[in-house]
Amino acid sequence: MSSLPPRLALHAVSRRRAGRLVLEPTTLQLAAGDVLGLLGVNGAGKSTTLMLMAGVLAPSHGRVELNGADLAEWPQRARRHIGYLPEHAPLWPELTVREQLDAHGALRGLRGAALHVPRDTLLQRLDLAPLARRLCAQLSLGQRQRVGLACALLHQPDVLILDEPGTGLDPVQTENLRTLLRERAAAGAAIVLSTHLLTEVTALCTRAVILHQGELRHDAPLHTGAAAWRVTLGAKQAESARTVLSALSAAIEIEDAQHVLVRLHHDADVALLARTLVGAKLALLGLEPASPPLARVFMDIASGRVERAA
Amino acid sequence: MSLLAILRLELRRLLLRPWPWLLAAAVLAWLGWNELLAVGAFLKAQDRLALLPAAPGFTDIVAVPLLAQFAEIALLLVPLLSMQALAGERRAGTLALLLAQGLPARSIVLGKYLALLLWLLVLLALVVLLPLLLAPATHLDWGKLAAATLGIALLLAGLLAVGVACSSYTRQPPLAAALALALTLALWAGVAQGRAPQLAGPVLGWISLPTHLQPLLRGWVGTDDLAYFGILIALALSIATHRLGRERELG
Repeated sequence: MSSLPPRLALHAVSRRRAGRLVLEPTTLQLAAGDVLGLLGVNGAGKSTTLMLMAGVLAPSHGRVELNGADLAEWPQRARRHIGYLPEHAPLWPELTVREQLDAHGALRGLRGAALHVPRDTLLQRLDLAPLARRLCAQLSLGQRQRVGLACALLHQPDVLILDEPGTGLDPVQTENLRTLLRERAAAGAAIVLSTHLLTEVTALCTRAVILHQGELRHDAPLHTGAAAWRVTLGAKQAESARTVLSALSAAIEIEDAQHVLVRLHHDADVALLARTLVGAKLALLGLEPASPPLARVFMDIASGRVERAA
Repeated sequence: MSLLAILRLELRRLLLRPWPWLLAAAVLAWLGWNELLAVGAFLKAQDRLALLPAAPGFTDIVAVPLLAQFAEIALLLVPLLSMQALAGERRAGTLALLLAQGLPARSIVLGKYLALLLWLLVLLALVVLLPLLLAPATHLDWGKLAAATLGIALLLAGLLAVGVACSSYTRQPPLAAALALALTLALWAGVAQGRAPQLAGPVLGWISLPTHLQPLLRGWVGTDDLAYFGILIALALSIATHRLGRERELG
């Protein structure tokens, strides 16, 4: 078990606005490499949660910890460790794209090569090099979004907090963004992204959180590129199935003598799973998804079909 | 470090905006025209002035009134300039970027204040240059001119601090400008008390701007007047810092 503190932790964090509770006490932890998708309908409290995580807002109750330190006591830690992209990517309109990045770098204490190398790399990676001398006031929505992302990524933060990062991006740029974020997560950053797009979450995130009416209603890991299936077999065939399926790229868990839970990795699919079991002469009596898909969970919560926790 | 970064960023943005330049050009054009009129009047009055034992000179008739005119223009100019300082950042959403970097409220307020003050002091230097250009052809009272320039610089610094404080309380720059103008005029309203101090109480008289500006324009530098401007600046900037410090709580 690692002794390292979580990259970011919310301990019973709540927020009031004008006497109204806009975020109920919420507890969350993000470890290095986690990519958390924050989902919710408009007004669910996503942006408030992100602002609390980024230190832009202070909790009314509870505390936010960044690498084990209370963010309220050590706000200056945010400077080096947090990269934040607010909704609509606010930029200083008088500055060019390059000046914008330089200003962000200078505010974070970066100078010389420590600023210029990541700046030029990000300009290339986010396809901003041709726009480097253009005024930010003249950028399109997608271009602004990419500049905002570059500003958030410039100092290679441990924690990335992104509010609707995919807004205005075309499919190529979206894929480019996903690659960039996967690289940051692989390098040990914890990433939180808020989005309305479930596909964005399933494609990128390791975990999904659903907020509804300021309350955390769902927090579960996602198995990126994989699916979990519950297999029903003939009597006492579970152990045999484990042996047969060991050749598959999958995690296998025996529930009882007749049921096996199979989590397929990205290079295996359910058809291969079924063929393997049938080919081994096992009685395949049932094959169903082990958990409801995220879309159904989201719709159930958003439509009020799932009651709030007592 | 963060203060310097904000100062440089604000200066850069200020230099790139068109409207501060337009304001500066309009102020200089207006004051230049008025200087021409004042010089013409001064030349016409030479014969009569020569008969007086302690006649006012070029500094009293042209240079100091020009600076006094600039002081009156500053009542409107400074709120227009300072309204964007924090209210504009808040409205554009860029204040969140500064707060997300854990920058202290003190650094944000001071950085913005100093950048705007530097710009105003450059404008003041250009205004002072107008009478200085005529210095080779006339006799200037350098001490009186220096005291008057110091007075205007302190006035600008005080008005700017009030403007930044007003800007820290709203997300609407025009509202910030209106609030700053109202406060400035309230402080300036003491001009009547300054002329008739017997009508005003001692406190009202002391807090009015003209009470402390007039001696400086006459060439008298007193610690009382310097302390007044120091207190005004410190108080206004403290209010702005306190309000910005509560931004995370208030949202």
